[in-house]
Parts: sequence; C-alpha cells; structure tokens
Amino acid sequence: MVHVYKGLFLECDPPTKQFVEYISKQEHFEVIVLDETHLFLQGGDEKVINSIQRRIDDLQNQNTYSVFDKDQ
Amino acid sequence: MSSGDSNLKRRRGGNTGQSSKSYNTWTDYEEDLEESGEFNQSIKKTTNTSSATLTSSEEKGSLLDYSKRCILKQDNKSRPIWVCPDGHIFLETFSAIYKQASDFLVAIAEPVCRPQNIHEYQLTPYSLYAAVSVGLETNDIITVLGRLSKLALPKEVEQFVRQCTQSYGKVKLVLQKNKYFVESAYPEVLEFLLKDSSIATARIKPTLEESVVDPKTGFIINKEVVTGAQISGGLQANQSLDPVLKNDALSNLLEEEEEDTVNNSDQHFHSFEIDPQQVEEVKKRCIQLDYPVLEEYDFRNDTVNPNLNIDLKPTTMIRPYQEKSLSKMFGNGRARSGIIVLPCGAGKSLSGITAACTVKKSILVLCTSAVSVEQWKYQFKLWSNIEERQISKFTSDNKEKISNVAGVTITTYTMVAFGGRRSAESLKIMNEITNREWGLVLLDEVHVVPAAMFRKVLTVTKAHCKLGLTATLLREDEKIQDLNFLIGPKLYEANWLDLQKAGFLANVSCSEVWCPMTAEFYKEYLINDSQGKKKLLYTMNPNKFRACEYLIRFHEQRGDKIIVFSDNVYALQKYAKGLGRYFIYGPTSGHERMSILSKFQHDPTVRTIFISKVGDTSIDIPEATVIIQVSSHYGSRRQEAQRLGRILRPKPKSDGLYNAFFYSLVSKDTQEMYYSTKRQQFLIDQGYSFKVISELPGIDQEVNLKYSSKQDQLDLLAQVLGEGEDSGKNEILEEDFDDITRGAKKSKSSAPTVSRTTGGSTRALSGGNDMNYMEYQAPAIYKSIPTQHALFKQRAKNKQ
Repeated sequence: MVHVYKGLFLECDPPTKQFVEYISKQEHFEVIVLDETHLFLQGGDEKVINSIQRRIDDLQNQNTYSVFDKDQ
Repeated sequence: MSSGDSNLKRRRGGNTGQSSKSYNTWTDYEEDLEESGEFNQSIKKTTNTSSATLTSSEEKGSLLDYSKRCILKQDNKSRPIWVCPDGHIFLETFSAIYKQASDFLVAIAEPVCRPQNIHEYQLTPYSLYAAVSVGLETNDIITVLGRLSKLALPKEVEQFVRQCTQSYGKVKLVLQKNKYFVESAYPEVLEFLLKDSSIATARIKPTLEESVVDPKTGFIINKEVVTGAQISGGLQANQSLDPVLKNDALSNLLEEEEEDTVNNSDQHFHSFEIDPQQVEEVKKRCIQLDYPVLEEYDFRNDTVNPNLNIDLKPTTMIRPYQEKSLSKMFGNGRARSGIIVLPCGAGKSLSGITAACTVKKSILVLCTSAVSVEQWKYQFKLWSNIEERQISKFTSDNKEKISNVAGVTITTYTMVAFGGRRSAESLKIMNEITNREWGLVLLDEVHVVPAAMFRKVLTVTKAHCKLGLTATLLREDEKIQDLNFLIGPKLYEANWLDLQKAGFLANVSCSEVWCPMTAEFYKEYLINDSQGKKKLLYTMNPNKFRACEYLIRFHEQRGDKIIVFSDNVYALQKYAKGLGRYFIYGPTSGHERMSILSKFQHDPTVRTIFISKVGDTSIDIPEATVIIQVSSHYGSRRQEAQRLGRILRPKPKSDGLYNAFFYSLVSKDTQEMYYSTKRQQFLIDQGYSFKVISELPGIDQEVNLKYSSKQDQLDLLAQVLGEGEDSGKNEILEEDFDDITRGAKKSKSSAPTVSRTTGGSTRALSGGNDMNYMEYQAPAIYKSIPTQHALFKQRAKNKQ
C-alpha cells in the first residue's frame, strides 16, 4: 500500500540537518530523516521554510563577529 | 604623475573612511586622468557615476559640499597625510616621504590600523603626552602636521594639540644625586605650582653653592648644554626626531623654508628641590593641577650609585628600529621612563639589554615566569659582556645573592609583589631589592600585569627609570591607559609589516581552517546548555582532530617544527596522547619542560610538541615554524598575537613566499567562528590578512587518520560526554588563571583566604599553574617534619 504525504524535501549538510532537527521541536513541525543529508518536512510549506531560514540566519549572525560590536 | 602613482591614488580615493574628502580627490583625479589620458574605461565610468551622485546630492541639499570647506593645497600630491577634524590621520604609505612622516606620526599619535596602502592614526591626549615627553613641542607638532597635510590643518586639531600639550611635559621630576628636583624651562609654571600649599611645603630652600639662583624667584637655574647620550653600541641619541623636523628631502619637496624648530641646546632650566618624603604627594598634586610631571634620570651625572661594568659585546648588532626606539628613551642625555612596543621576535630583550648597557647602574628585570627569568639571563650573557657573578636570579627555585656593588637582578613580578610570609632567605633578598636604588627597571610583558600588582611592584622598588617592554599593548578590559601613569608614555611602536619587509620578522602565512562539525557532535552541541560542554565539544570535533593530524603530517614531511596550542587541558592531553607527541601544560615541572623543549630543539625526530597556554608568552622556541591552534581563550586578541609571535623570529631558509605558517582550526557553525574572527582583529590592524581554508585539499585521501570511522567518532563523543563536569571545571579554572582581572576579582571576593588566593593568581601570572610556587602555600607542613632544626639549617647556610 502506498502512503502519500504532502511536504517538503530538504537537502542540507550534516550539521545543518542536525540544526533543523533541533529546532523542529521548538517550531512545531515534523521531520522524517531520510539519510545523512536529506530530510522530509511533513506538511511543510512556505512558512516552515521561512522560519527555518530565519533561525539559520540567526545562528549565522550569532557566530559572526562584526568590527562594530567591539565592546562585546 | 606616473601611471603607477595614479593607480594607487585611485584606490585611495575609493576608501570609504575618507568620504568627506573623496569628492575632492575624485574631481581632482578626473582632471588628472583626462590630462594624462591613460585610464581605462571602467575607471572613467566610476568617476562619472561618482560625480553624478555628487551633483544629485547637491540638488537634494542633503549632503554637504566639502570641496569648498577643505581646500587642497596646490602641491597636495607630494604631501602624504590627511588630517580629519576628529583627530584621525590617514597616511599614504606610497608617498615619497612615507618614512619620515610615519616616524613623526608614530611619535605623536596612536596607530589604529596599518594595512598595506593607507595607515590610520589617531591623536589622543596620551599620545600627545608621549610626544611632549620625547621632546617635541606644541608648535613643532602643529607646523609639521600642517606641512605634511594635504589640506589646511583643521582648527579643531590645532586646538586639541594645544590643549593637550601646553600643560603636559612642562614640568619634570629629576632625581639628581639622590635629591628630587622639580624642573621646568618655564619659570612661570613653577611659580604657579608653588602657589599650591602642599607643593610649597614640600619645597626645600636651595643650599647648593655652585648653583645659580635667580634672585627674584629663588629658582635654581641650570644653563645646560644638552648633548645626546651615547647609547651603548655607538649611536647618538636625539637623532630620531630631528630628521623629521629638519629633513632636507621634506623641505625640498614642499619648498618651504622652515626654521630649525628644535633647539634645545641653550635652554635654561629652572628648578626647586623637594623633600624626598613628599615626592608622591607632589606628583599627585601636579596631576590635579594639570601639570603631570615627567620623570627623568640623569644617569651620567649620578655619582652616588655605583656603576655597573656592562657593555654590549662588539659582535652585537642593534637593528635600526631598536636604535630608534632607544633614542627616544635617551633623548636628551637622560633616561626617561616609558614603554617600547616591538613585535614578538623582533628582539625586545636586546632593546632592554642595550638600555641597561647605556644606563650602567644596577638593573632589575621583572618577568612573568621562571622560564623567562632563565631566558633573560641567557640573553644578558649572550649580548653583553657582563660577568656571571654579577647576574643574580631571584625566583622561588633560585635565590641567589645580589651582587654587592652593582649588578643585574632578574626576578618575577610575583616574587616582588608577593604579600604573604616569606622564607628567611627570600626575605633577605627582598630587603636588598627594596633598599637598593635601581638605575633601571626593565618590565617585561607589561600588558599582562594587572594594575594593582604593578602599583605594588613599583612602590616596593625604588627606580630611577622604568622601561616597559611589550608586543601587544592591548588588553581586553581596556585598562591599558593605566600604564601611562604607572610606567610612562609609549615611546615607540614598531610597524610589523615594515619589519617583515625588511626581513627582521618571518613572513607568516596566516590561515583559518574551517572544520565542519560531525552530525553527532553538532547535535550534542545544540542540546547542551553548558558553555564548558559546548566548548569541549567544538574543540574535540573529530574533523578538527583529523585536520590537525593531517597538517602535522604535511608539515613534518616538509621538515618543519610544529607547535600545537590548546587552551583546553583535556583536549591537549587527548590530542597529544592520541598522536603520540610530547605535551607541556601547567603541572608539567620546570625540569621536564626544559627537557621537552631541548628535545624539540635538538632532536630531529621530535618535530611536534603540544603546549597549553603556558607557552603563550616568553617561551622562546626559535626553531618553530608552524603553529596550529586547536583551542584558544575565547576572543582574546592578545593571545592570538602572542602565539603568532612564537614563530615571528626571522627564519634562515625560505623556499617560496612564506617561511612560517599559522593555522587556526575552527569548528564551523559554532561560537568558535565568532571568537576566531574577533581574535584576529589585532593582527589585521597590524596589516596581516587571514586566508580561510574551507577544505583541506587531500584530507579525504589521507589514510590512517584518527577518528575517520564513524565508530571511532562515536566512541570519542561518548568519552567527551562522559568526561562531564570535571573537564569543564578544569578548563574554567585554567581560564581564570590567565585572565588577570578575573583573578583579581576572585581574590577580593574570598578575603579570608587571602594568601591562598594570591598564591593561586600569582602562580597564574607567572606563566600558568606552576608548581614552583607551592612553597608559599604549605611551608608549615614541610617545616614541621624537618630532619634538621631550622636554626641549624640557617647556620649551616650562613657558613657556606
């Protein structure tokens, strides 16, 4: 029997995959792990992708030093 | 105008920091380019667009038109600097008179950023204070700045310079024949000071017959003919600044007639004597009255203190920048206190020793660890003709008697500043140190020592003159300004890139290697909230381990000597044991350290050693050509510079462009990325650039690298996680050690166990967790089970 799920297919590097799994609990969406670099976001849509993108941007910003926040 | 010249200038025109003037530059160059006709289409296009924005902005009226306000001088192309109203100065390094101009700017301003083509300097009150103290005067500064500037000197800057310099440096405190004199070339200043009651009471009426006393004011007048001091090694001081002011090339270029502005030779010095007991009070009052006193030492006329027979060996060569830095110190025949900033490996020790050979009095050297005490002693013997018996070491291991007449004593800050109970032997030497009048105190690595400890050291030792040496006048807590008052102004700061070009420093390739986190480690990294755990996880990242092993293999095959730095002790041991190499960290005993270091230097099979942060400073390993940094102290810019310094010593062999390599291994997508960039800022300001290596070529083909298989990685992860709080704690403790401010806070909070905490933090200050200092903490225990009574022991010792 064939099951059909609507959702999004996501390809990313292993750490990012871990990050997506990590935030899936906070952002309330379901992920199915396919392999090292692929995920399936069940019921995922534009909104989910946007929020993932935002969280990844946040992470990158946190880990990037800018000359202008010298006092930190 | 040559085409090369115009190219460079075009680049400068694009500099965003110069937006206020770039309009001028652009319009200027437009004309220029049209005249010369040698421009390519793209550049013309940019020129057009820039002038288009100019016109549109003029229409809007939102931007100001600076072209009328800042009018370029006719011959602006031959003048090398831009002066901004806020005190920032931009210097073109491709100017014909770059050398002279940079000498002058280093004397009057703080270098902010010095990359290849444009240097940025900033005028600060401290830098001007330093300028005055090396003998520049207000008008000299203003005229020379005006002469070098492409624009008329902004009024704000002129005002600022006047404001800062008129009070600074007008008054000097001179220690002559053991008497303190307040001296000034301006009698009105002295009169002003004497109006203050506490200074007036400190004054002693002149009794000396030979001095000429002014009948009206009662000041002693010295009509001195000031001649430059002969710095040991045969060079004449007082030369360094004159070239800037009198330089023929400069005046020819600018076609201006200038009078000789520096003319010290027949200046009258007025002075009054003050009570030695009240020197401190007078100094304090003078600062309050806005006339901070400069301290100078007339060592050649000091007949009270015995001379030390010390000279540089004839074979010793001083490099031009060392000469320059010292000529600032001995500018007018006297020694003045201050700080000299030279990159690591550029021969700071030799500068210090040359200063010692010039002063020729009792010398006290203060360093940060027992290891560097040894190295200083070695350096003294290497460069100068001092006799073995005249050098004494004073550390917790070595308590050598200080030479009776005059000598060199080398000790650590912690030994001198230690406040607890001392052993009888150490007390005796300590008394010697406090009772002696030192001609010169050399302070090594001044930036690491906290202000409180400095005050302690400087009040305990009576010194005529203090010379601070450092590579990185930089502290994360921005307390560096304190040094201005504790030691003196910065006398000289060398330019790293210039020294590298001249071959005095190794040509280093700096790179940042990005190691992706493995999935399992990153998962744990995200889940764990504890910072210590996070840090451990990104340090122990298997990909980092593999990158490290790969780099070690690569460079060992080339025949390089490699130092791997890791702040984290757990990681240090894991890496070193995993790769079967020697490692040194805090608990490693002094003896073992020496033996490992000497193996590293002489044994061709020992090509790699692992060192924790104890190796950051003062461990001199000239053989090392490669540094791999595995873990580091957060965003400490100083540590990065110090570590780079370990390989900066010039290297004899150079195949290709670079002869030294600095790798920083960084785990991707973690905080380490943030810290890593922050750490690099200081070196970037010195003109270094970091390459990012996102993938090491060939690392996947390399066989037998550790932790390549999934199973190994998971085992490692389990170990790291199992390590838990212990290694986390360990690491935090280690962090505390290097961080002086944190250590100081800690000792305050735990007041009841003062002696213990001091012991802990002092240990740290002297180069990490050094067991040498254990004797302070538990002398009672050891003494309670003596085989011989302490009294007899003492007697036996006295007999020897």
